[in-house]
Amino acid sequence: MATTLGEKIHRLRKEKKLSLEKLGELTDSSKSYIWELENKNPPRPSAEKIARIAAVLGVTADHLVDTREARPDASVVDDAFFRKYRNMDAPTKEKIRQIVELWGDENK
Amino acid sequence: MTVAFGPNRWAIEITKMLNMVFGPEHFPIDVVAIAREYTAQRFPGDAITLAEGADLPGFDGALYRAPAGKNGWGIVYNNSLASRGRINFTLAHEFGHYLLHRVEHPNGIRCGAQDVVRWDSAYGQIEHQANQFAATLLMPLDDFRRQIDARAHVDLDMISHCAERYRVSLIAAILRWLVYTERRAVLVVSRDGFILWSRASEAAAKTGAVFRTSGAPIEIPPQSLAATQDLLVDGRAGILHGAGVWFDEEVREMTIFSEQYEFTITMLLLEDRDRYFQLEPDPEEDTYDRFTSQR
Repeated sequence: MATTLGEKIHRLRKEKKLSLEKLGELTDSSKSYIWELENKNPPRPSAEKIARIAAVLGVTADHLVDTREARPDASVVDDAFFRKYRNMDAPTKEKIRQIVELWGDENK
Repeated sequence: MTVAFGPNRWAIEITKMLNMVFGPEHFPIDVVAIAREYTAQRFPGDAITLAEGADLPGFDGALYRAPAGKNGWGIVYNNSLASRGRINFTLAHEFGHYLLHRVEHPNGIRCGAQDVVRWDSAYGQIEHQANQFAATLLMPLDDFRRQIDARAHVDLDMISHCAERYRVSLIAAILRWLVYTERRAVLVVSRDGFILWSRASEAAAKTGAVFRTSGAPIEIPPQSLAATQDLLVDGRAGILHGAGVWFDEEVREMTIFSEQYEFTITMLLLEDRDRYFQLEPDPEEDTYDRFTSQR
């Protein structure tokens, strides 16, 4: 997945200039629960809760919830140690693949 | 043949070599040059033969085995980060993976379909070792101690100076200082008014001056600099809080806001103290003991 649920909520909330309190209030959640959603990795909230948060943030629930696999793709994962592999998006993976493929002969 | 050195041992080996070649004033460390030279001499045919930076959003770095027909290993890293310190730490971290993990994982780490959780925890361990290597290589404690004595009262400028010297981020330098300082100090990294994570020096931890962030979110005190984000107050120089703000005692707080990473870095400095009397084990049987002994 390119962006986690928490990062998306955080970014959208900032864009809407909503405080943690405000988003909590509008979705019947506590301020600390919203913070946890954004910054920690609590069990995924109920579909209903996601729908309410999505509605307040002006997006669809599908947009918030990741449907893609949380794994790097097989062509890139081989022979590599990853950092922050979860955050890699397709163009980044592609660039890395190119760098590795073009392993310069001058580097011999 | 490779001896199974741990992260500190590897870092110290390389530091000794740097001391011999360049003398003790060899900071900041040019990780790429050293990684290439050192591995070419020590592991010919299996050396680091590529170190390439590119604009790679959402990515820090990785260690790759060379494709068929080429030899050795390569470090690919994101060079578009604004913080040179973070880039340098990433390079040292990947060099650490090379030294520590390439033999155990000759084909890298593969992520099987049901393997996500286990893979993740093994991942956590090797990440920790690579970080330990990077911190020890970039910021050797003997040099750090010469910059800031273990008994010194610090401020953020002193630690920023070391972050510059070693070309690491301010947080990396603070974490390193916390390892050896004899003072009571706590680093608090927060976001939107709650603590993301925190680290205490040994003297602080022994006296109970810690925040445990594994449970429910801990809100930072409303009177703190970290909460007020008052840009008129010089957060770097710090202010003195009375008892009851951060802890049940006076605390000097220094805070800086990192807009770029959307978090707040706070250093809490406390006076020396042997122990918290209220945290001494209670010799009396308490309610919980009574409750459990009755069962």
